[in-house]
Amino acid sequence: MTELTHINELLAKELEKSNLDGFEILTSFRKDALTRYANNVIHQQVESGSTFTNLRGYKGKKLGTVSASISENNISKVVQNLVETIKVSPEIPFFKGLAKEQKYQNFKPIGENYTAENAAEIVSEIVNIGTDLDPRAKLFGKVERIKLDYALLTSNGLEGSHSIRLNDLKILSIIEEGEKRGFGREVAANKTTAKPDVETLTQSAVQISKDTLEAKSVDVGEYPVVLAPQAGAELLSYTLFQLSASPYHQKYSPFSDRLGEQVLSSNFVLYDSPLNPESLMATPFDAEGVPTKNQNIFENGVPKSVFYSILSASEFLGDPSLASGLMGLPYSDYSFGGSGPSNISMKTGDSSREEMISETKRGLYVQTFWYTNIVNGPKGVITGLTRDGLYLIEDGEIKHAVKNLRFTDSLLKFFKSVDLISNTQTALLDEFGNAGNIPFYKLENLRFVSKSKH
Amino acid sequence: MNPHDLADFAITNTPEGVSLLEFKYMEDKTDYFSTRNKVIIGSGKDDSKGFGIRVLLNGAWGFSATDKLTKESVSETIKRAVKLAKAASLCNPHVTLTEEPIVVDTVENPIKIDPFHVELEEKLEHFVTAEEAARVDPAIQFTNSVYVAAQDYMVFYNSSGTKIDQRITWNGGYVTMTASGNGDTQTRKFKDDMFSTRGWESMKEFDLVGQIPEKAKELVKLLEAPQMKPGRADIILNPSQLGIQLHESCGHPTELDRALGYEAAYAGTSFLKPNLLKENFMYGNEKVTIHADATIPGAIGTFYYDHEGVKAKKLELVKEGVFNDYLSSRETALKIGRKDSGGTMRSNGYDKIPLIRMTNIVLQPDKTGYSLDEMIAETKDGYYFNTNRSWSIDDIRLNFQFGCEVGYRIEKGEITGLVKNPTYTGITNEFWNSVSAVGRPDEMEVLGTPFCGKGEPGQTMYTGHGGPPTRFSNVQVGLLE
Ligand SMILES: [Zn+2]
Repeated sequence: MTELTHINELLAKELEKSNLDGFEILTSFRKDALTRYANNVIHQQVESGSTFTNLRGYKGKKLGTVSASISENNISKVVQNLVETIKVSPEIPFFKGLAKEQKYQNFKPIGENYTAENAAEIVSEIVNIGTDLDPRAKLFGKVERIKLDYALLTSNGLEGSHSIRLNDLKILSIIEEGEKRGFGREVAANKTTAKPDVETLTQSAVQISKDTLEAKSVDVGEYPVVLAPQAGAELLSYTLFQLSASPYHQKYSPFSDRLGEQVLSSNFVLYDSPLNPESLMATPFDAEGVPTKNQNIFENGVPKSVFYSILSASEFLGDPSLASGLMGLPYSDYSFGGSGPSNISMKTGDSSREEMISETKRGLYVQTFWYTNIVNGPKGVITGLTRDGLYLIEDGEIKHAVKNLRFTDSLLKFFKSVDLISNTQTALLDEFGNAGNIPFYKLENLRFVSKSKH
Repeated sequence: MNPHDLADFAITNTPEGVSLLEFKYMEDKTDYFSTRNKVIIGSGKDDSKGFGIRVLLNGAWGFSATDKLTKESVSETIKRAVKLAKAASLCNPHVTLTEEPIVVDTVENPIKIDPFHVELEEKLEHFVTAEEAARVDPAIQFTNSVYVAAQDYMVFYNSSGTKIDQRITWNGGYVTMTASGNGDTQTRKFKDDMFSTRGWESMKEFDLVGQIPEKAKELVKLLEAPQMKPGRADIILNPSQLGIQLHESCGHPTELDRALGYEAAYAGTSFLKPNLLKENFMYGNEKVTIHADATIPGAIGTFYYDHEGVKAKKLELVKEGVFNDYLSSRETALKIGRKDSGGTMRSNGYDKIPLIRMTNIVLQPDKTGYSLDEMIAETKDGYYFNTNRSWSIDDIRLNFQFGCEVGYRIEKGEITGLVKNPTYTGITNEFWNSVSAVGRPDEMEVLGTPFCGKGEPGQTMYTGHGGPPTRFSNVQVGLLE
């Protein structure tokens, strides 16, 4: 961390010479380490460590952004690059400066990463447990270790540093017999090196793959659905996207002009907890130096906030101080730097997975959704498929595994009827790397429109 | 330090027992901007550089990367890669590789106008005047534009003697229009998927300002257009929608790493299992020939050498309907009995390992086939679909559903109006077996996307796709109400 603050000071010194009106520096050291396994062997064992800086500076209403690999050797080159960028940039009429002096609610980061050796041992254990349970089982997945240290310094006197450490485990079991293939998946993310419950997770993944090997086809149509946390998280991610400032203001969101209105089920409560040190991506400030806050995104089915960056708050609200503090940190190349919550939780209820199943006359149990996408933004229609675990529930019991189905439905409809929510939450990372604490929940109906072959 | 010197140093210091060491230096730069209603709302420059070292030790891979460009750092990084390979030997994959020719070469794609030397003002002007021209009606309340120019410079050496110095530059961009009215909001991108390994000339040559007003007028009409009715019909896809269809239902499932399970836990596997290669599986009907061609001049998925040092190739994935080949790598090619790699391994930066990536996935035109007009004239009951809006496909790449921005109703051989929110769905091989007409070479386009995602840690790659207008018969269209 001292290396990052040192680089920030060197950059600031250089920037102060450049006659700008203001600047913002976010320098990060990121270590991505990942052990990936397939067909019971480790086929990918990678790690990288790099220091990047994200710089913004402005002169009047001209704003420039550069991000670059940084070391003591290229400080002046990077600053010069920024200055030239600003020079040729046109004015942004609504621009009113960057984050102003504020206080961060600092807290000590918690978290520790596995070593590459730990990761290989975990994989070896998964493979041994899995193939002992069923010699036909082949195991696939990853043990990822994410480490991000970051330090902020701005011309408005903002200064902060923090770090994120987390481990992400994925287990997929595949059993193949002739033309048939069965798939079963479990995931778990954590912040400590306490060993995950590899045994229970592997058992479940293998069992699901045995079940889905014998999956039967069911008719398409509307079904009540009990969603495992991975499946539930996917539907929530695509709901949250629609609260981004651009679709909201361009009337391309189902929530456009409906902030404060009860549009979803009254027990639908989503909250973001970046200030809870236990949250996987906890941070006291966002990538723009705006303080983060614990807040409700949906309260009793009412959308409470749109996600603004400093620029979009200036553009749409005329006030940069209304930025949400949700600008994504550079924890992965895969995050495109939009504004949105990354420590989302769905409020628990008083039910359980077992109760949800036992109270279902005829419905489906979904382990995972996959390849979800927006079909019609303004109407809130999204589509996606089940994968790695789908079951038919009949008369309160799981009857048999089902071949995968595609749903296409409006979130304004299916989230209007959240029947039951479990009293437990599972920590996980969604498809985009955002963290979640997601319970099991049951929807009164979800419309499935077509079948796949497996 | 000069990357060639670092590379030399790395290769000279290949440790005992390492059967292959690859040194890959990459220096990537990106210039981008976006606008809303003619005002710049984001712009910037990204620069990254560093090197990664991949070793194969006793049949196990290890890869480590850093941005510290010193000899000490090379030694350190080799040590870490070896340590990782040793840890991997706990579940050893026993990797073997194809023998590949040793290459010593310096290459660069030809560009007429270097996009990094064009003033921001000129680039902005190009898009802002198009946004202005798109304002044909007050219903159009928003216009947005996006432009990206990027360059990957790579120095690749391996311990077999290959030494490559390669620079690839690409750029592209488009305008999006949003119209609201009649209780609806509709959007239209133009020109979609226009990315190429060419310079700024590719943008200048295209008459965006001249062509956009017509698309804008059509967008406004779309607000009043009927919702598409569900049913079965013949559909014609334009080259960009055909491109995304190829990308999702041919490109991804023919990635051999996917078919072998390497991506199973993330992107998924493939319905195209390796045994289907031997069985002459009918992926499509005899009208369907699909190439993965990394050598098409100017196409976005074009390069000279892949990131294992293998020369770019043209692969025949589907030959007159028969599944014929995969996209492959040095490690995977052997598993389907190929003697050489398909040359499709690319990585998006020094700190990422190469993965099998699409090159340019192209449906081959029919020289004696139909023009678009002839295709429409012969269609009794159908639709012509343009520009992708929504895409989704299952984890083995069979069940797909696409949404387009605009649909044209075809009745008795004529376009009779617009339909809004068009969608169609099917099963990959059934769909490609329903091709009833493939267009001619003069109407084909090879487009692409720089945003194809794959792998863990996640990587994005610039990949090409396209072909001529193509007709499919008896397809499920529309969403059930
Ligand atoms: Zn893709």
